[in-house]
Amino acid sequence: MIDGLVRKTRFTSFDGTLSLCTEHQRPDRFSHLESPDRTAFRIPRGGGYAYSAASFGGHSLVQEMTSFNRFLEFDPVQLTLKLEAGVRLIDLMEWALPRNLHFPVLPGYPLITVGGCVAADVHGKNPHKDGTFSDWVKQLTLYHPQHGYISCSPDEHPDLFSMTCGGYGLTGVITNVTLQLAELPAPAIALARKRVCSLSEANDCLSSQDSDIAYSWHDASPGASFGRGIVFNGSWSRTTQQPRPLTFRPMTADSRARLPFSAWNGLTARVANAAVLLQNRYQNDVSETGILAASFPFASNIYFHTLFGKPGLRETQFLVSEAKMGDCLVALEKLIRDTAAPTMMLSLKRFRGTQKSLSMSGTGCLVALDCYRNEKTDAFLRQLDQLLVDMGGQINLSKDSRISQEVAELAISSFAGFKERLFEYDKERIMRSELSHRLGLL
Amino acid sequence: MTYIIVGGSSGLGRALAEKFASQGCELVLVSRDIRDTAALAADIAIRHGVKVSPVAMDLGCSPLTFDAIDRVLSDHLPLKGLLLPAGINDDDDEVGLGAEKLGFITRVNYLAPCELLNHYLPLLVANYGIIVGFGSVATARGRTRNAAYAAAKNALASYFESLAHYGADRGISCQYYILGYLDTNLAFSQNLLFPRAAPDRVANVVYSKRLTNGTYFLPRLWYILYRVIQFLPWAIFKRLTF
Repeated sequence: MIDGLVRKTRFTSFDGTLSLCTEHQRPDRFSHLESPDRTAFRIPRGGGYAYSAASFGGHSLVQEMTSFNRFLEFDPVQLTLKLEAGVRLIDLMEWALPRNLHFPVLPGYPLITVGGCVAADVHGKNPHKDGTFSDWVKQLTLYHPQHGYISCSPDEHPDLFSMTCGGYGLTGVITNVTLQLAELPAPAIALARKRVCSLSEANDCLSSQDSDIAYSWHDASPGASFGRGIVFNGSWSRTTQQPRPLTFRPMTADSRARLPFSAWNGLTARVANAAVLLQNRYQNDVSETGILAASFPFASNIYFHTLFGKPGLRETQFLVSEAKMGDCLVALEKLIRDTAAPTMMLSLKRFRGTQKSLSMSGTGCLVALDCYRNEKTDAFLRQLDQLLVDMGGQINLSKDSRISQEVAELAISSFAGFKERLFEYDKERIMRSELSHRLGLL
Repeated sequence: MTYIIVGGSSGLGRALAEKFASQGCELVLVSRDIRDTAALAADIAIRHGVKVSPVAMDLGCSPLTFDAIDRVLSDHLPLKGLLLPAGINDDDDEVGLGAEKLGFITRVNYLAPCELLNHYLPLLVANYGIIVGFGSVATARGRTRNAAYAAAKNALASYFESLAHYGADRGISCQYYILGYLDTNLAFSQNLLFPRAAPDRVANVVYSKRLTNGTYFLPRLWYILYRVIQFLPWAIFKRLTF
């Protein structure tokens, strides 16, 4: 009976660059979660939206937690909500908003699960103000085949809690999480757009503001318009009008890659970016938008990702201290121009947080860069790795599917400590993924 | 009014629990593992604001004891319905199955549901109640595989026919669903020849037909397939290996 619940499935990273077939289980009850061979390698999986292969790996049983999606306990005084790890962000928000509550740290896609958000310690639209996801986690329960169920929080097993937030599932399967919710100040966001001509102008602009949503978008194609972009600043709107509900068609790693070729190249990237800038010129400088639409911009705009087609894309994200940000942006622009890099768009955000486990956090400025894939892509990204190591930057492992162990050791300050504690906690290294294999965490 | 859902922690049972709760019904959820049932009960109470009581019961045990359900039932509104989306099959279930597994499959799929029905029948008759049972398209015709499962579900179908006959002038509504492929944990990530029905859509149908009497196929396409299999000439049927 139990054997029948394990299938062979082909998994693909969301960026489309890694794909492999392995055993797959979708437990919908505790006995299934616990049932397979307790010595077998395994790795938990949420919605499957990590760009890197953090939720699958060769010879590892993938335990997809999407059926563990029940709300367990709500404390209306403390505004804490205990829910299972497979609850999707859209389900959380659709429950919270009618109760005048919200969750401040929302990554860009609504079908990402709470467990995945903890495992990658994701960030939202303004990490400088709200921190990262784990800053809003009060407690979590972890299942490890050899340790059983362990409750941990900043006060209870704090070391394990710290390893699990941003630990990419390598400490065990997160079964439930208690989140701190916040009161909803207003039903909508007033989103202001400011056109900028360069990355440094955007950086200055972001540094001088502390709004509820703050990030920038830029044309990153190596041409005359490089760096032109838009700075978005959102604050809670005083409007009484209820925003339209978010409607979208779910996108998965497979549906994203349906197009057999990539429509993005140097020419189409420049044309598309010019069109975005032109469209923005004719939009109101401030518009009212619902919190869901503002938080999940990629839900209703799937073309950017789907047009990368089957060849996929490369994204890299890194965090640089504010003191080095100016130099970093100059060096980055020079590198992109000198190498005629296959870069397409770039985004900046200010960041504040505490780096722990393998997560990307700290105080500084985040750079996110998307590239289409051609013969230059990986060579350019290797040069970029060197640049960010020189700048003392940190990398985001969930967004980059090619980071090597050598780069991770240099660009994640707590890497060595995490590895040592992980090996002490899980001596047989039961929890394994392609990511852990690539980073030498075996 | 209160409904008992047996096998109500996952799959179709969970979908039924969510549908009936969304319509304001109180629930008693019964499944083998209290951790699963308690989690779903908490979820439904938070999302729908109705009273839900979780109860642990292993249908494989003999005899069944009803004390735990009876105890929580006394705190609920009057019992209106009994839904039985419970069952089990086994990859080893073929002709020649050992006595222990044969007994277990028969017990979970036939005897235990009948015991539950018999125990709550007086209450259901008193409240003009609703009884819903679930069978499988595996019962269309006996095959080498699923031999015990199909036999037990056929027996359950017959018992439901008897119930419908018994309840015809007693105001009981009795439905029996013959289910094809469902998009549950049993069928995930499989390439199947025919489409799967989403459990929440099946739950919607069950809720909308709760006051009727009859046997229904879901998805409805399976009515045709079921009849085709039943009327296949033996010379062809004996060669099929499904």
